Amino acid sequence: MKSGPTLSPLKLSALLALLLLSLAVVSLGIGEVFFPPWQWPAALGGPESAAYQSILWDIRAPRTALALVAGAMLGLAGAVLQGYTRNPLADAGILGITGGSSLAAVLAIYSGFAVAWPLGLPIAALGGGILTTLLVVWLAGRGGDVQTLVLAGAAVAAFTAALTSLALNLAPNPYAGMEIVFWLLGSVKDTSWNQVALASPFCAAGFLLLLGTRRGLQALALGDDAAATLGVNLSGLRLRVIAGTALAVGPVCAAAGSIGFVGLVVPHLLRPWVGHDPGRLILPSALGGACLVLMADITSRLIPTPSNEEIKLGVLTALVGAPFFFALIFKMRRTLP
Amino acid sequence: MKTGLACRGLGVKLGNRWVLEDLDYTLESGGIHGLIGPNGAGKTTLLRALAGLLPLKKGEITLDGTNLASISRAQRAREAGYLPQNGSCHWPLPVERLVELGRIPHLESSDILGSADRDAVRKALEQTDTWDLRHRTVTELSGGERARVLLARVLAGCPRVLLIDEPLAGLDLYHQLQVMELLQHIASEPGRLVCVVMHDLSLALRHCTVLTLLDRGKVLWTGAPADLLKTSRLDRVFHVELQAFHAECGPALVPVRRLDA
Amino acid sequence: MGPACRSPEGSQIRWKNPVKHRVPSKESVEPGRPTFYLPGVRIRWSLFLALAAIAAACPHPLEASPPPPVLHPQRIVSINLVSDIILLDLVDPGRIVALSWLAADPDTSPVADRASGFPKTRGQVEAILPLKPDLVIGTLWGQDRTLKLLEQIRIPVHRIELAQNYREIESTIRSLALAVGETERGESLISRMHERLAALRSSQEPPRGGAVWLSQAGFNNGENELSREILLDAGWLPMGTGSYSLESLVIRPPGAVIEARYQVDHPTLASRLRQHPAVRNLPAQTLVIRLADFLSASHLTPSVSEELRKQSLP
Repeated sequence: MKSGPTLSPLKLSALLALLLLSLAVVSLGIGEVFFPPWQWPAALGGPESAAYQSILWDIRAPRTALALVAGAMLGLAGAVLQGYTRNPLADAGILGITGGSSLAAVLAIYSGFAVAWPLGLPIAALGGGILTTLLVVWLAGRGGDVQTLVLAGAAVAAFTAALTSLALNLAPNPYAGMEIVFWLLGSVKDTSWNQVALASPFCAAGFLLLLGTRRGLQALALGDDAAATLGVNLSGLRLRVIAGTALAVGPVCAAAGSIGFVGLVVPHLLRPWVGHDPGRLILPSALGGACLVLMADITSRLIPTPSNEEIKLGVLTALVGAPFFFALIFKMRRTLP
Repeated sequence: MKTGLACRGLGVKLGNRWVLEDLDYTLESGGIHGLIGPNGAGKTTLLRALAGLLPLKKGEITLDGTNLASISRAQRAREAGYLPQNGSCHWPLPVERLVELGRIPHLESSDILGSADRDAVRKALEQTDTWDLRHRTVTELSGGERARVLLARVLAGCPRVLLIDEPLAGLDLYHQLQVMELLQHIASEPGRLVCVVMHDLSLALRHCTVLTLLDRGKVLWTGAPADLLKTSRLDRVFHVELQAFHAECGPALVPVRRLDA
Repeated sequence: MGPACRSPEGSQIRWKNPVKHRVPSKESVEPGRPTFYLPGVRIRWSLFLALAAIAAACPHPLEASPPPPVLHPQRIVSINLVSDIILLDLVDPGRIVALSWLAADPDTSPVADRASGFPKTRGQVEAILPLKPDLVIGTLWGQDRTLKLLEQIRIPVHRIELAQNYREIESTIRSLALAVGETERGESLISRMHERLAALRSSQEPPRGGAVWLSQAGFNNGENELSREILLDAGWLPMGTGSYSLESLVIRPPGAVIEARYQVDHPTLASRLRQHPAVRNLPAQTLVIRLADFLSASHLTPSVSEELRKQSLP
């Protein structure tokens, strides 16, 4: 693997931020009504301004915001987890966080909890994410061993997937099953500011925690022992990685369902541009993830379907992510001795 | 200015086994301290304990009289550098970037390298003869080149205490001598303490000022290399009949045959 | 290991803790006891191919011909909600041996009180067999395997299709009536249904405006033609086909939103959409019908339009 052209992290982040801004503007313009920015002053001042205002502010803006936050958190978590496990095939899925959040959300829907209290769904999913992460930590034991952590995560992810399937199997009413299946596909459609506001504080906390792992991840490139002697608190780092990921990804899972592959694809694409430095990858991955999810969301709005139903975001990311996975494996096979 | 690292009554347990038991060991600046002994003697464990990586079941380690445990992690990172055995780099970083990682304990929170940092990196690269490799990717280097780059990383941190585990593994003869000369030079700087775990007895005898013989978790002998030759301990400890040849540069120990108990 | 490793005295090199290797020889096997071993690769492959050929050549068990139908079945089992509903009005209660488990569920069945007296079945073959039916009615959708298996055991089966409009409801009722030997009663059910439809459609008023449905999948224009017909019969106009996005709701607001509520006390996640800021203050009327009435396309379906008319404000 050659470290190809390298941009300074600042320049890379600036470029990605610019891309993100333009995508956000496009996202605000695309929908049932094509509503580009240059038409905004006219429409917002004209006769149907209330309707256009409602569309922009109540429908498109929260959708764009959630897509942005979801993508940023997933990309960020993916980069940090790959740096921490020193494995380019890691993301929030392997630590079982998305599995735990999905399971908790499914249980919330079934028990009627989510229906009785509309905000119950996101909070339950967040709780589920945190619980599974704690379970993973407990399984992995003390010490900073990465391999045990990955195994524990895989075991927990498999377990939560099995429980989710069990819940679907035992569905008391067929509509719960259908709702859950659609929710699990992952979508940011029909988001309200309510949902964004609920997810944001946790995501912000997770974001800050994960940004702080930068130095530790760079030192970990040399191995656990060398990193410890460079002043990195290994157990503290692990706590920060796990707590940060749970806080960042849990509420995203709750609000938008299961969106996969973002945490896998984005760090991988950006890694050559930061010279494979795991620490410098963090912020660009967040920005890149936001761009990727926004792009996918815009595409989902543009693809026409016979039933007028949008293609779910999670489906699109999986459709793009899986072939990417194949390409990745082929590339890795070629570089092996 | 003298630096002193001392262990008293050190006890380290890995799993259910006492790897080090009731160990007393003192190191001082001025010359390389060599740690030798057969496989499984506990050399790496002792070095890791000195680096602060292992919890001590018994005893204490002091640096200049202060208990190592009471020194903050960050301070310890600045004072001591540890180079593990068979080190590796998990990501294909450019060589220069890897060596820059050695400056982490000295960086402010902004992670930007100052001129002092860059000078230290440059010096480390030049000392280990890896300056020409600085734009190459670590994973593309040969084993020996990589070993030197990892050594440069430790040196870049300019620590007072250098704890190095088998620095010569994978190096060709030229670079073996070069590294030992480099370490000797560093050890001669005032206030610098260098402790090296070695397998090559000849080089150990030649370049180390103090040799410590370890076996089964206990210190069997400490002293000057010349005195070590006079004892017959080496044969018994290594289970090998050794023959000493005295050349101009120093003594050379050749293993003649295995001794079965 | 060459000669250079031998010590000068020429003495034997002794291994510390030598590893003992044991090669199994023929003599180690007791004589008289047969030894089994897998034959060579070629033999194994030919065995495998032979078995595969035999399996392929075997006649498929499920391709047997269906059993002959009974003209006036007296022991009818229905394992599907639509056929439950039609059956209750089509045959005398004595001829019904069991209805599907959904028939008595007031949340999904419009005939729950009438169905409560009958035994229920979940539709598994082991549960159906002890009932000794001479006709089992089910749908093509999801119950196909069960029905095929029943045919194999020589039990007559009638498959109904899920109707997508009133015409198909008619043909469903007719074919079911034929299968149970009650063609006259079937025709009377159909004519009664047409009377109710005529009453609905006789109104001279123009449509009140557009209406959309709110279902599990969000706002939409109804899943099939039947939804359109129901709306038109109730005096409302459908607003398109397929899904109806929030933005459409804002730009082209409907006159009414029709919610098919399931378990009235527990609004579904979809009705959470009603709380979305963009549509919370929609000027549209909300008309609520029971999902039970809407779920199954049968001769009772006109009741939905009747209910909608009752609730609609002019």
